[in-house]
Amino acid sequence: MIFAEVSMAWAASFQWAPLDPLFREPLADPFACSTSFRYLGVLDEASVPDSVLVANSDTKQYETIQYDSTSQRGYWQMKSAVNIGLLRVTLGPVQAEGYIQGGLNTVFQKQGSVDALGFDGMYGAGMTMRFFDVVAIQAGFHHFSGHWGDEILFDLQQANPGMDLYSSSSIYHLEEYTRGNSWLAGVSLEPVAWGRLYFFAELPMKKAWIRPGIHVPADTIKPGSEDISQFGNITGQEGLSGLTPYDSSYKAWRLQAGLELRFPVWDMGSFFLAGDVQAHQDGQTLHQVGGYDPNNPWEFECTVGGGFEFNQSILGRKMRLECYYHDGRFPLLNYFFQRSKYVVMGIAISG
Amino acid sequence: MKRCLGVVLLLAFLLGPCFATYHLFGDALSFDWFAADALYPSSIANPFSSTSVLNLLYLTDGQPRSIKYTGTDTGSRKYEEVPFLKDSAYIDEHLYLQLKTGLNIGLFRFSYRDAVEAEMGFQGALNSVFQGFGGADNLGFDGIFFLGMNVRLFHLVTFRVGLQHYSGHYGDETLENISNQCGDPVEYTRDNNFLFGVSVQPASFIRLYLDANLPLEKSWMHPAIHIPS
Repeated sequence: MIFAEVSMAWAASFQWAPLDPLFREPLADPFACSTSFRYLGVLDEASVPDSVLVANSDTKQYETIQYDSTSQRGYWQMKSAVNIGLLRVTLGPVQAEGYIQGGLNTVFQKQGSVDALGFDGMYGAGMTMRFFDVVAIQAGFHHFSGHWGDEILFDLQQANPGMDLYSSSSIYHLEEYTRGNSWLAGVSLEPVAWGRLYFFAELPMKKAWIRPGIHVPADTIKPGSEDISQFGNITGQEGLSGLTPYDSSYKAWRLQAGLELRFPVWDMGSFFLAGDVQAHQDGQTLHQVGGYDPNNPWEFECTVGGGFEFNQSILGRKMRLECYYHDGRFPLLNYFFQRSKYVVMGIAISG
Repeated sequence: MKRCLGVVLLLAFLLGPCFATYHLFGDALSFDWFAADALYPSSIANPFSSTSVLNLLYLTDGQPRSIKYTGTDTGSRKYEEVPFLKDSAYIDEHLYLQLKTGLNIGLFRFSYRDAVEAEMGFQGALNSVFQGFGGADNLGFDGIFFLGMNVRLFHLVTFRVGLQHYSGHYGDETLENISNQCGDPVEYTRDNNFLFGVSVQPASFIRLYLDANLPLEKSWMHPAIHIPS
């Protein structure tokens, strides 16, 4: 009886494949599943991405090897990604949907041969629930996979003639950044139409592919096996066998929080300000063999900026002009070791 | 960079408040700054259209096992086929995974009595294919762009004309399977092509289209043997 009354009062509805997700992508997150084409300018010499990271099996250390000496300050970033709902169920003020998201991200040089520095693949899926259009809760899995650009690998060979990267006897092993896969949970709060606060926590699964090897937690197991240590497996692939795994407090967490403020302009759109902060526990490794110490700080990065977003519907696909300042990792996964301060500006579209 | 920043800020803070749908001359003429769906639809069956897909590929023939290199070590003056899969490794595998994300939007759309519509069209996509076996190695990444004009007449016929860009990149994990190879990998580039297309949709359930691509007289093209004289 109670259920019948509730059903009458709260009409239920279904929607197949809505293009606008209940849990919107963060505006300022460099790896949000939004589509963008932006100019990226690094602000100082130390921020220039001009090297790859390799493991040296002779020295048992990670090393950076330079592939470009022109110290380029300007780049183009193109990210093509979507985040959509699969099936949305609405029951009064409660909405639930399965979501799927994914995309590819690339950065290429603005000058010279316009070489591609790398490509990132990211995808995920899960469930979102939204209550009273105020609180959205999301849980699912998330995948990150970094890839070096083929053209900078050619540059690397030209800058270092005779360097053997690929044969079985090579002492160098190219490092990559992989999280395949992680658990991801998020909360988004919109108590007022002009303000939003969100928080994400990402934790690699117990059985996961994680690269580089020195980022792998001690209790991670190689997928497809029951007891093979992924730390030993990946560091062994890098020619660094014999390393000691870390203590159990290291889990390779990634935590993220952000704030977004909107200032509507009639029915035309909104000015917005956005900030995003991320904390990486893998920063405790200092991205170097033997660098881990539980007393090391987590690595932080922040992005702040703003712009103008056209049209005002709470959900719905929107275009925006935006500009951000970033102090953190260069926005390609394999360049996790490259701290950069940069300004990025351009056009973006997301739900 | 300061100039670029200035331009973006100028657009955001000065032009921004003007963004809206305008109706002029008694609604005879309307104007939109942004349309999420372009007037010229993306082709559903075109593998390189600017759509977002997550596809399983089942290869019935033609498994990719090699890439082309310029043959500088042999003096043969021919491209060499260099295998990245050794001997008969994975020869019986058929499954691949394609991830492509793209968009097809319209900017600055004018519409006259809903009979003649014109806009600046932009399409962009990134495309990638992974092996569905072994280490799920990535075969490569493609960048695809279009910028031009779309014009639709009577909701029936749409024309597009503009510049099309293709840029192919080998996957790093594929290159890692090749060692001690002289020469350079041969890439596919069209930077840029002239593109003309016409699309006819006489009813909601049927559409016919024709696209023609021609490299510009001044353009970057790879491989070199594809370049017209």
